[in-house]
Amino acid sequence: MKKILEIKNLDKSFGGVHAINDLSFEIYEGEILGLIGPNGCGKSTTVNLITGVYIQDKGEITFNGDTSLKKQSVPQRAKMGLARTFQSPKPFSNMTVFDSVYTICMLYHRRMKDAAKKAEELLELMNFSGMADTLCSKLPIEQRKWLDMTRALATNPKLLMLDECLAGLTPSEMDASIELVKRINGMGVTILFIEHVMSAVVNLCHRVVVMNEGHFLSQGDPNVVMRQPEVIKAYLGEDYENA
Amino acid sequence: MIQAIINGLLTGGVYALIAVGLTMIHGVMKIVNFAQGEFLAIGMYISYVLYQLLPAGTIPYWLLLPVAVAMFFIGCIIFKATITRVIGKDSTSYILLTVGLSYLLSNGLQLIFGPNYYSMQVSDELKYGTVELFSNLGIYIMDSRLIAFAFAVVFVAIIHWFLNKTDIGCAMRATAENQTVAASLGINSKFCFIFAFALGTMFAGVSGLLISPMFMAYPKIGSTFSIIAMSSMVLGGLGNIRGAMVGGLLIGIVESLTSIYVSSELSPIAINVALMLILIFRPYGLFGKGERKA
Amino acid sequence: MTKNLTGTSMKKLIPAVVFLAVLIALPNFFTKSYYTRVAMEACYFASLGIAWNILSGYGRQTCWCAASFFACGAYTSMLMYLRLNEVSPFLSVFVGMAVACVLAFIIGLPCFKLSGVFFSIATIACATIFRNLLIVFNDFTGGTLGLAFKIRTGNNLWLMSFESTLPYYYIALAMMVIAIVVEILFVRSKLGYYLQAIRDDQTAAESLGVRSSRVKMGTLLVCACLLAATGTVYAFQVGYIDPNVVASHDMSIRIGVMAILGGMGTIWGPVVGAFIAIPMLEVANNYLSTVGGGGAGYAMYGLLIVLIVLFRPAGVISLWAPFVRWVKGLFGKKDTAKGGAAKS
Repeated sequence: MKKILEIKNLDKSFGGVHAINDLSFEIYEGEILGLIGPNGCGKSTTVNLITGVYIQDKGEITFNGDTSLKKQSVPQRAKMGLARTFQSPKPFSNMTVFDSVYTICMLYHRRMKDAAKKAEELLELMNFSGMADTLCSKLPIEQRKWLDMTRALATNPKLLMLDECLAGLTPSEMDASIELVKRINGMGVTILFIEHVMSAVVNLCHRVVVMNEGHFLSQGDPNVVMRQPEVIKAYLGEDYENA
Repeated sequence: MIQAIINGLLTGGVYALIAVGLTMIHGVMKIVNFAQGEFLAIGMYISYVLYQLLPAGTIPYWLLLPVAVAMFFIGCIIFKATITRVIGKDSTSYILLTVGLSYLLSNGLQLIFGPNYYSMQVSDELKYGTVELFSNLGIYIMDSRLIAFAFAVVFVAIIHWFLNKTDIGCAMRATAENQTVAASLGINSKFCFIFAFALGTMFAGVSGLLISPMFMAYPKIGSTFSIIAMSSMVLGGLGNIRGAMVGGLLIGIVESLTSIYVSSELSPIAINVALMLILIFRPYGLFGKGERKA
Repeated sequence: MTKNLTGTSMKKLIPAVVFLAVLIALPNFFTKSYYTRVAMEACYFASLGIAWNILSGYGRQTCWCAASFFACGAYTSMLMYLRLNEVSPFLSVFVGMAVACVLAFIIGLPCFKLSGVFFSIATIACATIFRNLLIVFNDFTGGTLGLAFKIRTGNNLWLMSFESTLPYYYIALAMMVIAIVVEILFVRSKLGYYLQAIRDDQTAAESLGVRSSRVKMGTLLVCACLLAATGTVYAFQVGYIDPNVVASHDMSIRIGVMAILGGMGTIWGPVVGAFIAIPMLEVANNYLSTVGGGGAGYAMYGLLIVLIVLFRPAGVISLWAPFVRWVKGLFGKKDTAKGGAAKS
């Protein structure tokens, strides 16, 4: 299998806080990789390093065989095929659902007509048909999250990073989200799935990487990894084993 | 050279006072007040009017208390009527609001007093009197500047003590740090806001009195001082009282050096260039640290 | 989407066409050329307000250096006329735009690294620097005295010199129409969409591939061109410019008032704003000039900004939709829902 993203010995500190400590893992083309770990373990920072919001102190990120990532800005990396969503959705509040996707499609299509067509297709795909003229600020939380995903898809991503796309949703909304993620993956988009909801991770991910306090802890099949004692310890504390 | 630096420092003392007011407003309610210079202009006009009532030749500094009280109340009124409604909204609202306010106030002053220049008829002793510093060096200091500087320093010292040692001051600092948390701990953030704004206004007004013997009052004088105050504030790092003070002094020195060694016409350019340089290269001020983005 | 565009845009155009027709016919109803002059002034400020609105309304990048670009156009064409053997404004307008673009580039490069209030402060600083430079290089620019035409006689379109106000009015009107067209094209262009995305969420827009500084710079160039072009037209009508008027902070605020009053981030906001604010200013100047020391009109501008920000941030134009609904209600029509979309 081909590696689409390879992270090697990544290091990042903020002042005295050592957020990412010698982190290495890789993502293979076409898979859904779950990135899990307790709160504050550096998952979001990892995403921010991959997308270029922060620049690593040490280490290397290789995307699709390209090692020059460090020199690329956030928008440049997006154009290379690295897309992401945010922990709390960031809608273009004063735009309509259609316009917000259309805008992003324009970046990747020379003619505005093509962009409009693509935007319509994407809205259809992500269950937004009939809502094109709704203002983004009027959407409920789950639809904001889905709209974020739709926008990200408009960039023709090779790798899509979903940052806690299930947090704050009701169980039925979660099921719908999981369905969408599967659908996106089915289109051939590799997905980095950052999540706390373990049932979803087990259900969705082909493989998981566990982080703790900024470093790599374990990786492998979700069902196996979740039973490893050091993973349980990291998640639930020392006492859990004795209890 | 030394003369220029000392002159700059003395003027800078007053700039520091304006900047401290601006910084306090920004620190507590995260609003940059574009009308700060106009508050200073109001202070100048109030001083001028009150001074006319006093017997000729009186020392104008007796007016400190009435001007301060008047400006404090003007600050309260302006805050209650306008600023309070834009707190917590996006920056565009308060930028537009305070810019509009500055335009309203400067033209309002023109409406009342006309476009003429007014200068306070202080005694010649105060106007032209000088003190010789280190008698051998031949460095002279204008009395009025020295007095203004002294008052400014005293005021800044008082506010520093106030913020660090009194209950209200601590409450204000807590509100500045995190309004929600402060409110949940029982701090009346509305009171803190109004108090901070009124204090900021008062400082601008007092500065207006202090510079009255040196500068003539005219309706548009405010915009120059707004820029100076903002430069000092940005230079010192935002929401940092001590920084704003040092910033004010530095801006004073920059201005005085340019006007002596280059040309007095160029000193406004120098101040603005300094501001641009700081904004580009040290956006968190000379002493501020870069913040981690959320 | 295509259905959407043609279907309702014809309806949307009706008020615009009526408005334009009224403006063209307007001088026929005026008994004094003074009224034409007021309408002309409104046209100038509408075009300026539109330019400001593009960056500050649609982009929410509140800039206070519009007057600098305006002055760029005015000074360039004035200087070319005076120093280079009467170059026609129809040629020098392009030079003025080019100069304004260079200035926009110099100002934009540092300023767009900043956001929010710091951007505003930086633009004020840049504008102050520019104005003082105009004053300092007095050999070239005439310093604080400014530049003035010698008295020009005769009618000459090529040199934009007329004996009556009327031709100037139509030139100003044409300028305003151009500005409106540019604005509409801009809003529907890729650049316009990117700018609005940045306005709503810069972090998200960047993460999706929008290069925010480039987009903002492109926008500023469009604005600068519009402002400079208006500056040229203005200079040739007034015949006299000086830095403390055309390049002042006051001028920048006056330009902003139009858009703020009418409604920021709307196509027609600045036009509506200008046609309310300029006549109001004239009335104030005529009837209140004896009150106090003058400045009543401008004090009113300040008051207007404050009131609008506090009570109607969407501007006067936001009253249009309820107004249409009310009118339709009078005639007993039931499709009230659609009226709201007409001008929002």
